[in-house]
Amino acid sequence: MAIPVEKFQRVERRPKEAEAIRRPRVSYWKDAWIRLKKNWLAMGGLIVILLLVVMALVGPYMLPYEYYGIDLKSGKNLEPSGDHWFGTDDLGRDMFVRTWYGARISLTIGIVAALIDLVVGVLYGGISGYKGGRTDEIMMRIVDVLWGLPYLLVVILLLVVMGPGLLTIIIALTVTGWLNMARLVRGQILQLKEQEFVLASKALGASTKRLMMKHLIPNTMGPILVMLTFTVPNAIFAEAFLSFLGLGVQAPIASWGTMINDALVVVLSDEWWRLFFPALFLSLTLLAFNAFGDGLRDALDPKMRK
Amino acid sequence: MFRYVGKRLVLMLVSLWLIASLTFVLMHSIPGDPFTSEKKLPKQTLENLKAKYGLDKPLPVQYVQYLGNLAMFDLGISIKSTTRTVNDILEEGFPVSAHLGIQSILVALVAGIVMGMIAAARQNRMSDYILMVLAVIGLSVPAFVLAPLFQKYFGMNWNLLPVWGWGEFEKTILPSIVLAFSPLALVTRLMRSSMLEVIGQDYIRTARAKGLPPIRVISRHTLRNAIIPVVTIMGPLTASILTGSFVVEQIFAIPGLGKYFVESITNRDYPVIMGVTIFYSAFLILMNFLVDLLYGWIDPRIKLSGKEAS
Amino acid sequence: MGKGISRGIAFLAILSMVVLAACGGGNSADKAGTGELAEKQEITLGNIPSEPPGLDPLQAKDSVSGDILAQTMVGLTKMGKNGEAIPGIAEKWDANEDMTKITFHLRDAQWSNGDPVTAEDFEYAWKRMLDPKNGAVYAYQLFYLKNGEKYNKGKAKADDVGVKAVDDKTLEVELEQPTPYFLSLTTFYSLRPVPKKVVEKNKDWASEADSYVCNGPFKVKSWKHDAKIVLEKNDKYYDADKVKLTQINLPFIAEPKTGYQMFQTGDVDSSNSNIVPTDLTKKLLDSGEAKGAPQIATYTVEFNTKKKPFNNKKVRKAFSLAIDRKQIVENVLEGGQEPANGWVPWGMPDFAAGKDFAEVHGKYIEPTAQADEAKKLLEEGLKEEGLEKMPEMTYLYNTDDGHKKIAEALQQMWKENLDVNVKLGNVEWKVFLERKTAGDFDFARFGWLPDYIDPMTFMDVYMTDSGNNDTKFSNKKYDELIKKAKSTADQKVRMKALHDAEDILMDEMPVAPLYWYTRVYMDKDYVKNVYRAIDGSVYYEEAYLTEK
Repeated sequence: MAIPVEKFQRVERRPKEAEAIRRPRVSYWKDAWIRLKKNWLAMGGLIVILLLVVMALVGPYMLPYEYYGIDLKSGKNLEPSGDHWFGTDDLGRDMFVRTWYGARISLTIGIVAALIDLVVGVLYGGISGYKGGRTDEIMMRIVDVLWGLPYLLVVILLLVVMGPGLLTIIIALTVTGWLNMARLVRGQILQLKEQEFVLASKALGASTKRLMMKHLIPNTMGPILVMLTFTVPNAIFAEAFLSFLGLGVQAPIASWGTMINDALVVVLSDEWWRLFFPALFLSLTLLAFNAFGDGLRDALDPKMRK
Repeated sequence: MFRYVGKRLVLMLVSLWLIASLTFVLMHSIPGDPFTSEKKLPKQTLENLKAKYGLDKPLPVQYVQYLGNLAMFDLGISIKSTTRTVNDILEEGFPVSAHLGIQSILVALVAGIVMGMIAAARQNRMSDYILMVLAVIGLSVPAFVLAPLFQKYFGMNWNLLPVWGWGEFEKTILPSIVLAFSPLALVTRLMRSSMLEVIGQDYIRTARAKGLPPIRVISRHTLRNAIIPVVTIMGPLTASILTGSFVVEQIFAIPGLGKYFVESITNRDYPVIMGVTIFYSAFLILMNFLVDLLYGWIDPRIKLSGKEAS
Repeated sequence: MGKGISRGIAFLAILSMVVLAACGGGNSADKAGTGELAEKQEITLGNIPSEPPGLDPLQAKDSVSGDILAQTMVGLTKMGKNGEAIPGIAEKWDANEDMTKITFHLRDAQWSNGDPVTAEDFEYAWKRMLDPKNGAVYAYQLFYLKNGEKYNKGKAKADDVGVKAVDDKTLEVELEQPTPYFLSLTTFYSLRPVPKKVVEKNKDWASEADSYVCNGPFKVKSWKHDAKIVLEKNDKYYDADKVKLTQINLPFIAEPKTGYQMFQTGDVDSSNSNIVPTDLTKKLLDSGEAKGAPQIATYTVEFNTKKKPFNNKKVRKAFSLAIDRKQIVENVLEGGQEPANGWVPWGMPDFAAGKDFAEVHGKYIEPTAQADEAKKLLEEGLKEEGLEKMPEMTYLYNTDDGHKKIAEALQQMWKENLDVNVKLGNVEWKVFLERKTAGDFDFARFGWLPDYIDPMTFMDVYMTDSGNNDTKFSNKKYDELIKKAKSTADQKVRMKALHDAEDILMDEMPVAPLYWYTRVYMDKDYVKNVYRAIDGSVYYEEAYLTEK
């Protein structure tokens, strides 16, 4: 079957259109977000994190108890029930309210620690590794010194100088929390900066900032995210230790860390709920962070860009 | 290379001196001294005690004296256990902690690398997810929870393994596993992530394409390039695990060094504080140095002694 | 450490599990075995948490070394059931009427190396303790000796000190002032003798098993630092016939949960509360697995009387009245403690009345909270100080789970009964002590254990110039009464003065006693005849094991 000639239409030459890029221009970060949205595991993690945050905000008001409400007469060590959804502790305080109140402290600490790691650790390690030579030498020796100092001494001094409080804890975490991250990033950058694509980029005249943000850091994202998921639980338990020393939030406020610490005896007795609930939500938080982290890693991997 | 090592050694001594000096200042600036106790001692007794341990001299004098002794490797005598020198404490405690530490590091390293590679090879499949959940449990159950749980089940309930003491190999099994738990999780996760990084690289595709057996691809190409993050964290990790864990050694009643890092400070036992700090720091600094040397060996492109980037 | 020991332990473990299974958990004493003496008289104790500072009485400065020295060293006297001194190395003694001169007559006794224990050894040990060069912590226990304190201050010579070996078997002691409780002090480990000949040759004699020489029922067989001490029967001991145990194993157990499991699996036969996890105390006491006995010690809240409004006695009393001591004891501590009704605790004898000092003085404090009275007093007190309402005060305690729980309960009680908000502050142990000494606190926890068996050890704490008086409480009448009690050996006069002083103390209430301690311990059924003296020391001298 022949097509009549008049059905054809002549297309004018449109040089402008020929040069245009049809697919919308996506930046590296936007592209990552698109890929992240498609990753159900990562989104699941994100949703769980958001749910935990919401519960931390509203949970303490869902039952008619206060986190400090002691009931010695008849309320001690009660099993989970309709009145006390998560049971009560050894002073008769409601575990549901305390768990979500504790979530505020522990989530804050976890997030702050992650931020310190990201900002201080990644930057410090990045500069040290990228600059190399003498700068690297000096920056890494400073890390050694901070690492070598007896942490307990630093903490006691902080407590004496500053008194207890959330801020003191954050400062205590800032002193040494980022050291692992700094060395990790530095190690990666040392390796990456000798690779061809960095050389190529340099040859094309990329600025240091561009090199770092576009090439070096994104290629280190995997280990960085793993390290973050390691930092978060460490910080949450460090907070328990620091609170125990009197540095952190003062009793009767509890965090997940201190609640787990206080409930250790249930290993030898029967009040399982005292250990179970804070530990469950701590694990859930970490699981969510890890799932999200893995998805984020995949999304951020420059090699997986299509 | 030799010049680099020499320079580095000098810098390491400087770092160590800095740590010692800062610790000296720190420990004398916190409240309390070795003799602070609930039953207050008569003033005279306190003065006698301070004179006996040389604490009556001005701090700068004490500091210079300490550095002098340190240069002779004399770390002084514990104020709490008056008949034991700090050197004795280190000599007796370190081998125990190190023994335990080496076992757990080996477990963490070998199992972690293998599990990490499996997870990477099976990315986003069931085994990957299971390993992630296991790692999360490893990270979110701290030693102070894990140790009593192990004691209860492996000791009291099932009577499989001894749960306290030191001497025979069986006694080291549980504490080694507890110690290895969190590093194992970290190594697994790090290994997975850097393996994924490397697997996507062109040279791996090339190696595969030219028909190299998978084992060879992994051992010759992948592992080498993926292991840098693991090597990095192994430095400080080794230093801290080999010098003993307070929690694990307390719970399993192991005569290691770990407790001295905490108790020396709560007792304000000055010579022991200085001794264990310097010992640990020297170890740490050395490990970080070894890590840097290893970088060059693993990936010859990495240059440390080179010029600074602009 | 031989394989034999651990095999022995394993054997014990298996055996005891069989027994436990057979008994079906019921642990009543009559069921246990035949009551016949066991063939193997080897016991493992769980009360040593860590390496002792030293086994030389000079270096011993805590209950850990005290627990071991109780088995290895015997002083002039031993402690009787009611806190009285009974013959030890001293067979008998005579004193002048006001108890300022005591002559001890020593029995024939030997050191574990075969040397005789002489009066010289005591004189040497005591002067060594006081010698300022030695910087002994417990030197103050010998300040009762004539010129003892002066020698320690470098203001008198060693020869002036009131202790003298007249001959090998006679020791003459001269005291500064009448001290009826000096005899009970001679049971204390700081006043035990040392083998002069050995010590002069080797000043580190007490730090290793090989060089250690002692005069008690047991001697040191081996000492693995930071891990374990093993004692064995000392055949040279003067009363060796009575000693049935052949070996005592002392593994160092830092964690109560570990110790508890060791007891359950039979690795430990007997212990004090070192192997009782605090939260399990109630359960173990209820089931009879653990036993409790009164301990002479008081747990209190101390007020800083220099801090407004705690300078006002009505405010202090209001805070005390608002505490429900019964609740704290029964529902927070759950260890069989007794709500305190005064400062001097249960178990401390009144030497004039022949019963407990606390029974004589009657009740100063109700066990339950008196909310109405408390509120009224607080209102009045605040008015007197010109305050509208109670300023926010901080209750200070040192880092510890037990103290934390009490603090949380107190906070709630003050809120409920006084409508006052109190902040809680916890700090590390030595920081806590320094802050209290410096007066840098509003109110804080405090616990006091006796130095010797006499109410004086409690009452002189709150004298104006007492170093332990952190409340800075000062009352002329009180000081005079204590001084009066210190100046005589007449027990009637002394006890009367001390009771009068406690009346003042409990009326002024710079210190609000909360509870009196208990001593919790665990013995396997087959462990018999352990002697737990009222001062807290435990003796295994005459203990034995029956067939399981």
